[in-house]
Amino acid sequence: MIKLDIKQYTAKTAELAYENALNEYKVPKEELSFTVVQEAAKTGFLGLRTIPAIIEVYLNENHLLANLQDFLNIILDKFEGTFYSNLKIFGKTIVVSLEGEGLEKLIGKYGRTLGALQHLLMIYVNRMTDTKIDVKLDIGEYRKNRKKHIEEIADSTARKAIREGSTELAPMFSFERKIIHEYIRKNFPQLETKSVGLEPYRKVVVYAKELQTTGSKKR
Amino acid sequence: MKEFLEEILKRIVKHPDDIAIVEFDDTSVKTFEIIVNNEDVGQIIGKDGRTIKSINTILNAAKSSEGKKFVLKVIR
Repeated sequence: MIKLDIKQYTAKTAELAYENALNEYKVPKEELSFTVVQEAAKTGFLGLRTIPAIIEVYLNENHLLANLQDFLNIILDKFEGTFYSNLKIFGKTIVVSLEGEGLEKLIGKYGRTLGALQHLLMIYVNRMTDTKIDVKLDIGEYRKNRKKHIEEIADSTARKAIREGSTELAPMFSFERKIIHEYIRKNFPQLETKSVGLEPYRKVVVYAKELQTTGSKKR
Repeated sequence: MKEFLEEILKRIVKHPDDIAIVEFDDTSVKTFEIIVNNEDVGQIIGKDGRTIKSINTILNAAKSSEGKKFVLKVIR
């Protein structure tokens, strides 16, 4: 539960108090929540004394997400492509899903731009809240499409490795390297793969298995 | 790009009205000198410079008309 900018409002009824709050916060209803602190009531002799209603008002997670969406749009605007974003909050984690054309540029070499974007969104969110909120960028659809492409790369690399004994690929994300490892293990049992180097420059090396190499030399 | 930089900075500082950016054009690079309220210097630089580096990465990845590299400097 996100509670930002908590204030109390007093009025004849809770509804009136909430209306006053809406006018002051100047946000849509969905972004402003309230809880009743004290119900309006009449007491005393013949109910002549009235007790006003007191409510506690706060900006909720919808407000946070709406602001984050605005901030994200300002940045996406500067990138060529068509992007679709979807923001969801789960407890203290906001997941930003991105889809569309032109995601490569947004992800950047070795995911550097994506990492930068994620960091900035997190800084922005945490400036608004007191509790620490995590922001995660999800490029699931992009990964799915990318898988096919990576498997094609794996295939041609494997053939090259068979011809030349060993070959290495350009640096890749870990999820991409995993696709290469799995594809070659499954389709080219005569080859072995391993990842070498340090992130973000870690890359896959493909080479022929020992026995098979000597075997082919004898032939 | 200067406006874009300002838009980003405005949203992550405590004192958006105190932001000033000066632009210097060189043949291959464009330098932005950023002046913010003392209270915000740490916020925009971030731990190990992570925030300012992130802003720089985004700026350089975004479509730039001149094809120049952007350099950011925080002045205090």
